[in-house]
Amino acid sequence: MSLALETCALTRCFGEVQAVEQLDLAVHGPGVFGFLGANGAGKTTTIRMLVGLLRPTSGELRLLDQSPETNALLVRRRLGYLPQDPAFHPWMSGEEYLLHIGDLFGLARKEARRRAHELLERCGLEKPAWRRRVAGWSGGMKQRLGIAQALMNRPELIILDEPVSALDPLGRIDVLELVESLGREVTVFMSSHILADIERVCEEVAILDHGKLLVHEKTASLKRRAVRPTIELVVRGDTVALAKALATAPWVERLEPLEAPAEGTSGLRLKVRELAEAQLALPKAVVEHGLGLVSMSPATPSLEDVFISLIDRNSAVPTTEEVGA
Amino acid sequence: MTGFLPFCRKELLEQIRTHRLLVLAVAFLLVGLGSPLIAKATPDLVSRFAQDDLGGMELVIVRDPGVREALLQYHKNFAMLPLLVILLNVGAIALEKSRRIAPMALVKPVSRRAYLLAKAAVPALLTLGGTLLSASGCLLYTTVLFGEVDAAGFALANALLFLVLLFYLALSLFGSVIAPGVASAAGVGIGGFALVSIAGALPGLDDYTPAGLLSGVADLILGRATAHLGAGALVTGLATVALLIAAQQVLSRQEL
Repeated sequence: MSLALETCALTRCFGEVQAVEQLDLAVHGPGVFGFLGANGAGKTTTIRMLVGLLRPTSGELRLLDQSPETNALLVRRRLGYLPQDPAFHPWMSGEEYLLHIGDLFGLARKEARRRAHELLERCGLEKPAWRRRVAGWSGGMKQRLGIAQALMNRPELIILDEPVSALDPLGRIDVLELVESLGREVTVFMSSHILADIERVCEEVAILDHGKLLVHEKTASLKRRAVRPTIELVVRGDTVALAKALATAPWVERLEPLEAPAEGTSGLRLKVRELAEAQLALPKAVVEHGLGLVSMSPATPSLEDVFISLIDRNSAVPTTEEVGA
Repeated sequence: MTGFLPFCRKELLEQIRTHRLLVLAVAFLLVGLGSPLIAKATPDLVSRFAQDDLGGMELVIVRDPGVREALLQYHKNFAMLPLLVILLNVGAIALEKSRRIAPMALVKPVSRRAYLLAKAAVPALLTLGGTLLSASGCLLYTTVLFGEVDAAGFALANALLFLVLLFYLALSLFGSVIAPGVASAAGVGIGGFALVSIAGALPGLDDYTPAGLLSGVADLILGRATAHLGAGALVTGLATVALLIAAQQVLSRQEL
């Protein structure tokens, strides 16, 4: 795996505000890397520094084993970039815009046209729209054109800033599938605040909060490590007494009521310290309280759970040892 | 200067698609063809007014127009074209920056210098075309209506007028680079135009400013002494280059 992107103590200040603080990242390719954070976390500032639109206040960065400062043209030739809100010359058609981008990369007209048509199709833009002025296009269509222009030069590293933010649910699925397929060949660095999207396509993720890197890890191991196992329990009868008893059990970290799935039933969601111990003790406790067990299922933590758990300032991130994974 | 030709091709297409080329051509043609016509029609118009009840106004005697009046009218009308050049070009970069179009192009393997120079070269070429169109129209109509024109002197006058327009083009591009938006860029362009005009009216300084050069062209047409014309042209040329260099320096350091 080659090192596609590396930052070392990357920092950017706007006056007194530190938008990005001492960011250390190393992204290996190929694959899809998720760059996650709430709005204002510093994702776009980081990306704008990566592509050379902003200068870092301090720190270093390398793209594709090159310094973008000293080898700017060389790096940009191998780079694809989609900004958060891609904007185009409104008087141009989508096809013309891609031909212009091809021209900037020095592609021959014929090759540029062939590549433009291939990408317009691949990005889900229908043929009748290709020659219409971009001014009349929807936000989703512009986003797709933005992705197409980022791929015009067959880049080795693609940096996408919120690539699906303007798309409807079906459009999102299309584009995420495209991102996933690109990730098999090249490195895709994708920022988003939509956790489900990142979870769907990214094997590795970094989470940024207030400009600081909270975590950088494989998505699967992060989900295992950063969130306590959860059990959803549904019983026939009332859980009030059971909840009181479980609250003092050493293997229970937190419990909360669960919306009853059917009449006459009630439920609890338990965050547990030891899944195996809980799976043994829970049925026993249900029987002891004279309740009928309807279901008991371990819930898989989502990246959203991880994100909330990490961002929540009151909850410290449990270490691997703590979780016992 | 990686990217200069692709940017030029895009600029040319933009000038056509956004009708800026049409506006430019019509304006220059109107100045060229209209000036001799206005000179020709002025005595008729004035005498028609004189026949009416002037309500106590004094009678104005207008001499018969000739080549001189036609060319002076041309100069007077041409003096409005710097404003058109400013208005057509002041948003060239500011608009692309504020709409976030420029960053998408400037992360490609191109230089910012090529981007700026294409923004200057294409309008400069079109302005040259406009000046030629305007001068040809004026030359043709003046010859038809009033008689032969000193072609060499007229050519020199137009070369100097073109240089003045280049200066205002550079000024508008400089404004477009340093301003964050189109409105502020227009403020820089028009404010700059006003300042240059004021400087051109200051004794001692007048001969060495683009506005002074513009006035000097009138002297050239009238056949008066034009000792400072060379200095005015040199200063205007240097100021044009200086503005473009300054714009390039600012743009190369600008965060987008």
